[in-house]
Amino acid sequence: MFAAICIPNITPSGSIDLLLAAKAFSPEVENVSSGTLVFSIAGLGRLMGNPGNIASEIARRLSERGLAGNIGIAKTRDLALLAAQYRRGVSLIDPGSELRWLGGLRLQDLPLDEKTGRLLMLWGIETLEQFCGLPQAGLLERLGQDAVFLSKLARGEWERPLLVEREKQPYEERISLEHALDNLEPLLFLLNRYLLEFWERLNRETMSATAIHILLELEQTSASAPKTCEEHHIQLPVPTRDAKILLRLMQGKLEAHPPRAGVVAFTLTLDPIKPRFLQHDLYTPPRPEPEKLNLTLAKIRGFVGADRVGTPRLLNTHRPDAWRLELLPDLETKASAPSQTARPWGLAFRFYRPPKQARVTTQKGEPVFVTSEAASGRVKQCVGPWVRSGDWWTGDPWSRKEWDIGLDSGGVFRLSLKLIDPAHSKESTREYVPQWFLEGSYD
Amino acid sequence: MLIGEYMANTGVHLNLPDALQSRLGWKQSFVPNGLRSGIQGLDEQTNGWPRGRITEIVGASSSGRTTLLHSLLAEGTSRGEICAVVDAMNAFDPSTAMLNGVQLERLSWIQCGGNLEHAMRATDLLLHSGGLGVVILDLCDAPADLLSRLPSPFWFRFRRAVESTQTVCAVVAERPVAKSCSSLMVHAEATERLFTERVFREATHRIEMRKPYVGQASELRATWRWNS
Repeated sequence: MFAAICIPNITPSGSIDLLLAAKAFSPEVENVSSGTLVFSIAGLGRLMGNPGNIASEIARRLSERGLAGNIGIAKTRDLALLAAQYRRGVSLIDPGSELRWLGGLRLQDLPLDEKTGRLLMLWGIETLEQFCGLPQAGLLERLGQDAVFLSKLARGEWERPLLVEREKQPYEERISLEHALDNLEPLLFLLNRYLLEFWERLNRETMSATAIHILLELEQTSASAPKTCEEHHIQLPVPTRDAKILLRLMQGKLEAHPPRAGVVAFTLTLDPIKPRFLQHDLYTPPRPEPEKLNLTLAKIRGFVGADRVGTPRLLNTHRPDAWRLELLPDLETKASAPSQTARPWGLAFRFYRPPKQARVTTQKGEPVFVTSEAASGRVKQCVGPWVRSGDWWTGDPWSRKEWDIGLDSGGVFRLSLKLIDPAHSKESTREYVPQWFLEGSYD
Repeated sequence: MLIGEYMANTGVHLNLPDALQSRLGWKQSFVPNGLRSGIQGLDEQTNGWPRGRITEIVGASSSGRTTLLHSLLAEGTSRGEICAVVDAMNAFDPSTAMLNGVQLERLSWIQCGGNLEHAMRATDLLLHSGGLGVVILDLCDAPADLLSRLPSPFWFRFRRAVESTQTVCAVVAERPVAKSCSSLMVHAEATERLFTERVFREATHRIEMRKPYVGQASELRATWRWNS
């Protein structure tokens, strides 16, 4: 059995009172709209007696909070709601007497498809009782599922569960330890324990984790020393609820950045998100599982460095070699037909990072001999200079002259002449010195 | 009974290699279709970059080996595959790669800062993770003494890891390093260079298949583009 309460023109504070009054009867309350809610009263019969007693108890609780409204009690959620919305006072709809109570309801008040409603109006059907008088088989042929819905609703057979909004509990645990943990292994053991709890919750609530945050509170070296904390954030490019993957990611992060002192407390937080759903097709090209690839990249980050792995994104600037690394985005894979024609190719370039300092002999302003760590030799071909500059309006301007040179040793290189400040002096006293660099090679 | 006699008596024609393979339970190796390089001539010779095999691209500085690397990545990423570049010397230029058709959002770039051991470990992990379309180990400009000291078991591990996958594994270096573990070796060499008034305008490269040897070479012409 379900009970519905409808109080038209309710104030915001009244809505809260109404919700609290309903929660006194059942924790499962669906808030349909402002001033209208429905809840289950199954099992209250033992405490309060028949539905009439329950209705009077609801009315009493409402009046205690200064509220008065329509109450509907029926076998199904929708019937109780209709009774509360369209009948004044208390409506107790016994099973089997649904049409007697709700037969007079106009079809336009029911949640019906507009087209079906207009068609029924053309047929001269205005109320639920008139609708139920029509032959069911013919209605089903002409109206399909709408007819099924209406006839089931009128007979009290249309059932659907309550849509209960639950309070969101954060995925956060803070643990204080009696003794400081110096090793990573026991710390990971404890983290895994709470991670498994989160994993159970994620599964129960059909959610996935998109980020992990670990806050480590470290042991104080002396009583007067300030409390130190370490924060670790792991952003997952693809949400997952695989506890093993989450643990390995945490392990990789903590192994790359071990705590500087013993850990006395930690806070583990997960950012929950709705999981992704993918449907593969036969024509999608092979691609790694995003979780597995992410784990592999995290392992690689562990030994090459966190800032050295990622997807390059070019920056919107004319500054040479300007890019930043980002996480590999989770893109849809679309199979495309392989190119059938030979495409035109551009000159590929390889950078020396950082650029190699060079000693250059010039003749009439043009380089004729180059010596550097990367390449040395007589300049056979030389074109330039190509003068480039930019960002002079910012605090980090750049300017250079560039030559493309072919050395007798065989390679073609980009040679640049930059003005640098060797003393890294302050802005007002800067003294710039020209310096040659080998930027890279064309390949 | 001799096989010839058996065939004559029974009228059954036996293909000897197939028959032996089926009797001895040898596994027929599966050679999937290769990934096209988009370079005329090379595709006809190689049937594309082979999947599930190690390919070596060798050549001196400015020989066109990086353009070949870009061609591999461009074809892989344009097919929607995820590709990875393990850059031993931090030399990869995303700007010219993009101009050559590489979709950077499908590319994972691992910079090893000159540490070849890290480069080998990263390649090993990527090949074992599976599912990647192209994995490139770029060892160009690495010091020769470090290259010669690379442990050979790595190459056998790579060959074993890649053989049952659809991944194209390519090693780019100045000289052959994977040796017997590679199934295709392409040699690049610069033939012509055109310098105009202000820029290095065009380079022509000779691309030759050295393993298996076919005795033919194809031409790869790369021209200067804005931002090159």
